[in-house]
Amino acid sequence: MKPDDQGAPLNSSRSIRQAWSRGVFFTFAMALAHGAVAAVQEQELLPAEKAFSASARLVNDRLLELRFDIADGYYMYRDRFRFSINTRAISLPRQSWPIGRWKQDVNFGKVYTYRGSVRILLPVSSTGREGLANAGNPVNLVVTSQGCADLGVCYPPLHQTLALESGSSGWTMPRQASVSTFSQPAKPSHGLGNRLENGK
Amino acid sequence: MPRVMLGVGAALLVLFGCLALWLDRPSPDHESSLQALGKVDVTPGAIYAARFLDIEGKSQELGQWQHQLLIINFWATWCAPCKAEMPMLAKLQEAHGMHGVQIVGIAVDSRENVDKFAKQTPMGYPLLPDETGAIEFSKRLGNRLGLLPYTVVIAPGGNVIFSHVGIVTELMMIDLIIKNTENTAK
Repeated sequence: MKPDDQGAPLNSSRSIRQAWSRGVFFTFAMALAHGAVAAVQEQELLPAEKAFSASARLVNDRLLELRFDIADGYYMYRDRFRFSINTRAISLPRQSWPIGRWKQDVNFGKVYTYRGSVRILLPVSSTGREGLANAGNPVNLVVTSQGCADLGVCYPPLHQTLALESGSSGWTMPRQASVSTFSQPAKPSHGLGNRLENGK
Repeated sequence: MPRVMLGVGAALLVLFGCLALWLDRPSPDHESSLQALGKVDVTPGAIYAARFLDIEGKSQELGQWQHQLLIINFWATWCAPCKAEMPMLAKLQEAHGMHGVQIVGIAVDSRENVDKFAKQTPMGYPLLPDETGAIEFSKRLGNRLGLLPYTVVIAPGGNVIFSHVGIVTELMMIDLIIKNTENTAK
């Protein structure tokens, strides 16, 4: 067999393979490009409380563990967590934060985010002599957090309230409905909200 | 024969890819994208009666733009996708403002944050911060989950003709502007 006779089918087969792989590449490239610019389908997105599902438990009477289970395709910003409590008798002296993953954001520089799940430990201590006993019941710990979806949308700050019962021996968490969620702080807007509530 | 089949297979794959993209293309009928979102639960009168304080503390009523094609963009300084689309919106305002288009950025944010942002990045259209009322207003305009960015386009007279969750493209906006400012002129 002459070299040409051997070469022709090989080249032909190679060119078909190349055409095939180019076709596959082209199709996937188009699909990816389309996905990048396509409109976000709102139906694909979860409500905030499902995207960033919060739960809490008392590790002991002075330590609270807060856990967020973050849905796939969503992330939370480490530096957007805030805690507040409705009594001065209690303080949250130190919080133990997982470091998270950092990424370089065009607008914000280096930011730390959490994906999957995140566990935050909150030591709870009394500030006065009477302290825990006089803290009042229930003690509401408001956790503010904020996250986004990889699809290119962000959720407004999420405020979740944890109700804790305080007593002389420390803290307990009622079994029922310990976490409630609201997406807006409970303070009045300057006019607009009321205007809309009052009708059209 | 197998080579021919491979070639035909590759061609079919590309063809199906193109067909899938064509079938999934954005609809030119803007009402269909509106239907995919939450219900608009506010009348034109209530839209135009809504007031916000600007970064200088002056009250701004949306009604002042009722004869224009009003593009309301809900955003926040902490929202990276929002900030990514804003330069494009500023460009649109500059190019189409004289043709009856008005963009307004309602921020789910504090006045301080918006003021700082505006000084660093002047936008060329009003930025109206309302940390507590803006999300509620966006929900009444169909933003069911209160997500950002969220953009609604309101035709002169107050009908919401377009709403979109996520980043809007320049093409999408120009298409709307051309169709609706032409209609206005007629």
